[in-house]
Amino acid sequence: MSASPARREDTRVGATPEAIQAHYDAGDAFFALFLDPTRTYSAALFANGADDLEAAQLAKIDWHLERAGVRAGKRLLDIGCGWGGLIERAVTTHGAAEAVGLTLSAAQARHVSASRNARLSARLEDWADHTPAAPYDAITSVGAFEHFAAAGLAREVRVAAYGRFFAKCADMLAPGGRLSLQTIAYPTGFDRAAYDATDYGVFVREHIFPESDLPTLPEILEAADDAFEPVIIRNDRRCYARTARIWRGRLRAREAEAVALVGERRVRDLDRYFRTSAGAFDIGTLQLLRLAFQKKLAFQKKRTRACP
Amino acid sequence: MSAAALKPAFSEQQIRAAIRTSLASALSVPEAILDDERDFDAYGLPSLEAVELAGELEDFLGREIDAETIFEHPSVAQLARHLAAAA
Repeated sequence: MSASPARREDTRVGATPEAIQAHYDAGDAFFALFLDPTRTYSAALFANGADDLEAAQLAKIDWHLERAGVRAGKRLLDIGCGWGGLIERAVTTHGAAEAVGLTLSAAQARHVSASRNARLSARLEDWADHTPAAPYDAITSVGAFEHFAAAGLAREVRVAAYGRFFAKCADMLAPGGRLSLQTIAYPTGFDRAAYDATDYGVFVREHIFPESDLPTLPEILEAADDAFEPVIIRNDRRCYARTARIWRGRLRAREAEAVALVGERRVRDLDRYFRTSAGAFDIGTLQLLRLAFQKKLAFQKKRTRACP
Repeated sequence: MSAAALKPAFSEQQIRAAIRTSLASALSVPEAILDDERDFDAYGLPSLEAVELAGELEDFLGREIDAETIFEHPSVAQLARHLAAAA
């Protein structure tokens, strides 16, 4: 890896801004070729065998906004806001008073800032550095958790990094505030070392998600436990398989334009990633977790209680 | 997938040949030593390679192949029969 976690402060063990930008700054035009109009680059929510990516991405956004309790007058923080599809829908459809997005990608921040809705804003900022003007009522984070731990860390280091994320979220939330999270995960018992040694493992680490590793569900729950109570847990891995196949079909249909924008290598890499990850989601080698949490009240944090 | 309608239907023989080519490459062995009746498991085919095999067949046939299919029909002969029948 080009940038080791040690290069950063002790508390930062996730992917560096450089790694994030390498993945997401390929250009708005390139992603627009195969993503839906909201440019959501994470699994959609397909219900009842529906096959419409646009509708399924909105359904996914709505799921998170509803689970996070976003409604009229509420303030939302979206960590890893991408091209701003979720925060925009929070203010236009769900009535949020304010929606702030954080991203490490300059291209994404510029894109969101170009929208002229005063209730929307995007900041080029790490979640660890964010200082809210006032506590938020809701936090969402969709497809960012994948980058919160660098590859090659021991389990306890990973869990500690995730724990700092949850502690920070709790700090930024008003009492009773909710957090809705979506992330790709490995199944429990997944052999990371064996996977990392495969051609595909090396390929993903070098060309798709540099400096990133995936959590397992127990790691997430363990890391969240101090500050949050889980309310809903879903594994929608079939939704990601479907999403990846649709992206791949769209990318192939626009292949010549894609190659002109980012080069043949990048297009071939992404094609391979979509094909293989779809299959890995088919068989459960990858999971797609959607998790809703509620911030614990002080008495709920006590380890032992007279009355459970 | 709409692409399916544009692709010709493949015979069980053709599908079998495609599976053998992909499997040999996944296992890094010559095709000639493959036994069509032998379980993929017995070859020690890792799950990720099984996923790649499904992906290659998906592209060859021009239709979606659920990667679980490889585990439900875990030999060259069984898989070819299943994919030919499901065409």
